[in-house]
Amino acid sequence: MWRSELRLVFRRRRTLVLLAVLAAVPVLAAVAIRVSGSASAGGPPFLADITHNGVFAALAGLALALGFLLPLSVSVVAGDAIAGEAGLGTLRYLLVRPVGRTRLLAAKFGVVVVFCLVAALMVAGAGLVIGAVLFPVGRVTTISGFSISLTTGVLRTLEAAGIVGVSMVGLAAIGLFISTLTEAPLAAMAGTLVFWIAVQIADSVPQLASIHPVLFTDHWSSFVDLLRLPVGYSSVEADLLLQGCWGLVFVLAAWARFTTADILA
Amino acid sequence: MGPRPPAAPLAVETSGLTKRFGRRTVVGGIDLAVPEGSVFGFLGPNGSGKTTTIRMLLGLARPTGGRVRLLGHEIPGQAAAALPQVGAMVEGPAFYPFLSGRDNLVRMDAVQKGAGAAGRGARVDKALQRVGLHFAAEKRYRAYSLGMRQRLGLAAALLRPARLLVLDEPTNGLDPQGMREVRQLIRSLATDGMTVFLSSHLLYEVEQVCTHVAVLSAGRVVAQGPIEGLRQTQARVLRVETPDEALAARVLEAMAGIGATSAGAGVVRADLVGAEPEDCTAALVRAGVRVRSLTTEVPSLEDAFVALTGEGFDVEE
Repeated sequence: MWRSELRLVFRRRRTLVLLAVLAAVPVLAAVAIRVSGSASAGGPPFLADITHNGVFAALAGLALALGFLLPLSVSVVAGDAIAGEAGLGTLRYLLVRPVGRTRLLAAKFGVVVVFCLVAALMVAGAGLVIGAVLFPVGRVTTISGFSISLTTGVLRTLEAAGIVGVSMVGLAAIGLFISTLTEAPLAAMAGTLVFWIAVQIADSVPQLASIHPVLFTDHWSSFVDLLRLPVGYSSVEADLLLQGCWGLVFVLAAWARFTTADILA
Repeated sequence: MGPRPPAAPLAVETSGLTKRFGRRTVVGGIDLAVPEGSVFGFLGPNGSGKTTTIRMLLGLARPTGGRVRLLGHEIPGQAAAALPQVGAMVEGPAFYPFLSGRDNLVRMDAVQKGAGAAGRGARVDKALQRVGLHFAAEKRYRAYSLGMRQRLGLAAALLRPARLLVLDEPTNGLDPQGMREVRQLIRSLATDGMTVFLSSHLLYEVEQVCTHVAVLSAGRVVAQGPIEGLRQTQARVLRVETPDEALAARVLEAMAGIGATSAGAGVVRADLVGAEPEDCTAALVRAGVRVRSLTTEVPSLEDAFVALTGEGFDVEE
């Protein structure tokens, strides 16, 4: 079941295209900087550092992907989870096989979470490769100004990618829930995306500062703290807590909805 | 739930099964009794509630009222116990268009709890062989014709040994050759002892393979039982060819056990509602009616159906 779900998602052309596009993010950034010969300060974090150390291509890629492509990809895969099966009509055949509804939902959510991690690692991996090809690599200077060895820097980068992946769990759960509401996968994907955009707008309105700490996007850039010395984990912890809460609430909502719904598609 | 007499085990049993969507009643309290080992035709015009009923039988939709027992298990509560012994095709085939026919079946086999990977390939191949689809197993489902899709749906339903096969309009989209093959398949499965629950709006399809039938009309069961019994709900018709039609009609009308009569063009028809044809012959001859021929006609199932539902087939609600 679990392996079948993984294969279904990761052998699908759409998923592969999404991953390829995500991998292109750091590649494009690195190539652009290499071609122009310099990077002005400002813009997303780490972008200007690429010329000194290729490792930063991965981190800049993560920061760039978080802006839109990563949430988009997660919305697509999560929104498709149940609604995609309903839209094809395969949902009814899975359920009469029988696949328990709780079990199916758990497998679907598990695969979406795996996709979040794979997507973030894809960005980081592609960034490390292109950074090493186009720029010098060596000891990594952290944000705090101290330098750490290249190995530690690469490990921190991969850890950062893992945290970015986990940061998507809240959105993934929201997508899963919306996916149980409709038989139209495109509607579920769009709905998830709109939800994210709405939250992001709320997160940027200063008058709503009182609710910012509970928005699931609020600590999405916490991965940056891994490149400090000593590493600051407080924001990462806050992020994990937020993702856990949003994830739990919406997975439960999805479960409540899906286990009682009439499957008429 | 009292103990059931062991003499008549039922594969499917519903009582007062009801489904309402808002104020619209789609299934209005139906009682079905599908004996084990029967080929049960679930007959009704399009839109009469057949598919909704099947969805409730399989636990896909919750009844608004009433109960379902499937192979002795309460549905939806014990669906997990009943469904592994059921093969089903509901409202047409549905598969992943980007996977081949074989990969689709492999997935269907793999998602089932307890279906080991060992023998999966053999199970899939056997199911494909059985519906004559092995030649196109590697083709993507997207590229399948309607008939091939229907066959793949049947293959999925036959993927594992089942006690009950639920087929919703299985011959939709098949050519006459394919329809005949499906009928033969159903017969051979029934010979092996499988119960087949076959929904259809095509009367002749049901008439050719089914042992039992239930007729659904606007969400209600209007007739149910062995197929011969349903035929006999209609009176046999006496058909007399004679040049003395007026006299023959008078003689027959005067007899006990004769229903409506009609005469014209040298033929007199009379419904036999008790009288025996041999007594009619004697009475006619005694009265001096010159009889050219005298036959009885058993009404077709179609006549019975029209009499029950007041409508023909393919009538949209």
